[in-house]
Amino acid sequence: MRLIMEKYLLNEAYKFFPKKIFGLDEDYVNQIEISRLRKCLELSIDIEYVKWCEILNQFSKKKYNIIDYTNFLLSQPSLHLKVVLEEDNHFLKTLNIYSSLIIPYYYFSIKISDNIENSNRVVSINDFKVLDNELLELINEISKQLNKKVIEKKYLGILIPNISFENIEDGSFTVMNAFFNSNNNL
Amino acid sequence: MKKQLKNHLRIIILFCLVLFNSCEDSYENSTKEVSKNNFTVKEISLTNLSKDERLLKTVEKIKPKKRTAQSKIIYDPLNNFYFDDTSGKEIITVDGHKSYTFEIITDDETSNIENVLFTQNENGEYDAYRVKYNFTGEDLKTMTKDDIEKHKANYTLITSSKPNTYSKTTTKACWEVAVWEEFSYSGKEGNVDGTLDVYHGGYVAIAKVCTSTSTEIITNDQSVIVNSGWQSGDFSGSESSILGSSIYTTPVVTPGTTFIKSITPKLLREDFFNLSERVHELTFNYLNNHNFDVESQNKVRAALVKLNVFGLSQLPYNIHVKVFEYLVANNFSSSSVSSESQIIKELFSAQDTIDLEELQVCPGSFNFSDVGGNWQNAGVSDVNIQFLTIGGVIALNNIYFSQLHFGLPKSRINGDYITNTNAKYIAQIVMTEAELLTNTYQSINPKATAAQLRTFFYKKLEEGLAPFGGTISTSAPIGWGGQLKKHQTFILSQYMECD
Repeated sequence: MRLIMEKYLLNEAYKFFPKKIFGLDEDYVNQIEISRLRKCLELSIDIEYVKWCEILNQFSKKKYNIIDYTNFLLSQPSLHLKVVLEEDNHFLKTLNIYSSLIIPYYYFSIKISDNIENSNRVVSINDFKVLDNELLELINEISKQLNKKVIEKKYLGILIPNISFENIEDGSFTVMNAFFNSNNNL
Repeated sequence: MKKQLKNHLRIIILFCLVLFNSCEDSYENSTKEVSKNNFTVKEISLTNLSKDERLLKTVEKIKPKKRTAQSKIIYDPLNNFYFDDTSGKEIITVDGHKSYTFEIITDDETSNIENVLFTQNENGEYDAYRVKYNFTGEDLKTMTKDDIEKHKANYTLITSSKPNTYSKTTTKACWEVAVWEEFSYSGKEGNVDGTLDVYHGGYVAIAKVCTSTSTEIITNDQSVIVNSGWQSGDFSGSESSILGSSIYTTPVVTPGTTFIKSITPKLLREDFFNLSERVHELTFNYLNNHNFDVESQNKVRAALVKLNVFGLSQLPYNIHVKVFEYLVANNFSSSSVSSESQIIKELFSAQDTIDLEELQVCPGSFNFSDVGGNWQNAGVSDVNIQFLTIGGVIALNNIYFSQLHFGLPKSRINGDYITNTNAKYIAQIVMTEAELLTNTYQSINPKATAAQLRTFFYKKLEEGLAPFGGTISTSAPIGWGGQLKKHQTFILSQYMECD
């Protein structure tokens, strides 16, 4: 089962990211895979972003502070939101939900940001146990409305060989980068 | 060379050093240190305490964060105050325990005194408290001991010295003033009749732990209930220092912070903070030279309002400086302030005298427009930066990107809001810093290839935007309808003019 899933993920990645070309090369954005990626994202955004905004609107009226962090970049081919769980003078604990625009999967992480040292630390991934009913309801709604399943944590770190993207070198580009987010600070 | 982004931030340093000197003049013959009962009180600046690493470790945790490459001060809403670390009071008990108190400036409209207190705990490390009083600096000037004994103080734990911890709920920390003690300065050289002149120093509040006290400290996601203060013990009101049961502090007020609090509306005060450190130095030197009298304060306030500081703080560092140098030279006269043509002339003449250290990426290179619900993007085209290496061989290395896209959120999770205009200046600062850092990198590594320089430069852009929640990209966001703005080609060894 894992092998099948890995093969699927690698194949999808190779559809949208060119092989063996440096991510910051001037010709990179002209590759056919990148054009394909842009078209795929354009189509997905047209369909999904409106629903996404409706869900955010609905849940922002409840107790949590929710902000849309979708940036529409190729480096973040997903819809992204942040929910403030706890905050203090120096630390901010957030729930981050990423719903891929390329594959029918989502994942979520709990992060702690240190505002003094400007660093982020991922505390957990896909840990449903730490979520209260309201947050579970939010995730369920996203899953239902956008027709996404949670991707198992073990697949996120799988390396995709021969692909470089922007500043991420060949040998460091992962499933998470390809389908969800390449920017660790977001 | 431009200063690199720094992790620590000082506010109003130089005016306070000047102020500190003037205090020394006033108390020329005083010891500045008084021993009464079981503690000493001394005027202190944090710059004099650079060797106290334990203190500095705690200070660094709470000071507002960053100074930008243009030396603009950024207000840190999470800390909710600016920290004046140069005119403080040190109290040392006979047991050798130290505390340091400094005034803070908050965003609140209150004129009541608020201080930050660093106090040693049982391990010799420092805990930081925010101390609020229910009286103003003006009230304090005329208070007798009987008056002040009727007042309490509110102690809020900001940070404990434990690593990787923060206070989850500060309301559970509990200290209360048990006794106020008066201290005074005495003259070094006595009077003819052998007496010493005694100057009223102030009052020290000695606080003890409330009867039930605990603070919930979060360590690596596990809540642990610990005592944030020292171990409780019997407290005798007539004794000043009992190991493990007291916090010593004194209300600290400085004229400079009083002046800042008087700048209204609040938006103007915040914008004043966004001006460069050099402008603060010029302003406070001017005020100090006039003993912070009413007239000089009024003149400066009027100038700030009339200059429409909201606009001025957005302009580059060198322009601030030129404007304020002119105003100081003209005694902040109303004619100088009103003379817009003179100011504009200064603005333009400032540009003519840009030296290498003041090189900027043109803010006009960035035109932010909105994308989707909460994002904004500026696309810069033809980014072509050349580095001139002069050594055995003159070589030209260049970095080229046909497009670079600077992305920033509008509403941030911490409550900040970044307008399109502010985003422009953030991008300008970040890109300038990245170029200068890359220039330095290239100087140190003259054999670096164009690809290496390109990667280094891109990484510095990423790092520069990260604190603002921003991103850099080589292609436009999906659905972005903005226009690319051309970035000027320039050589770092020559100065650049902006269109």
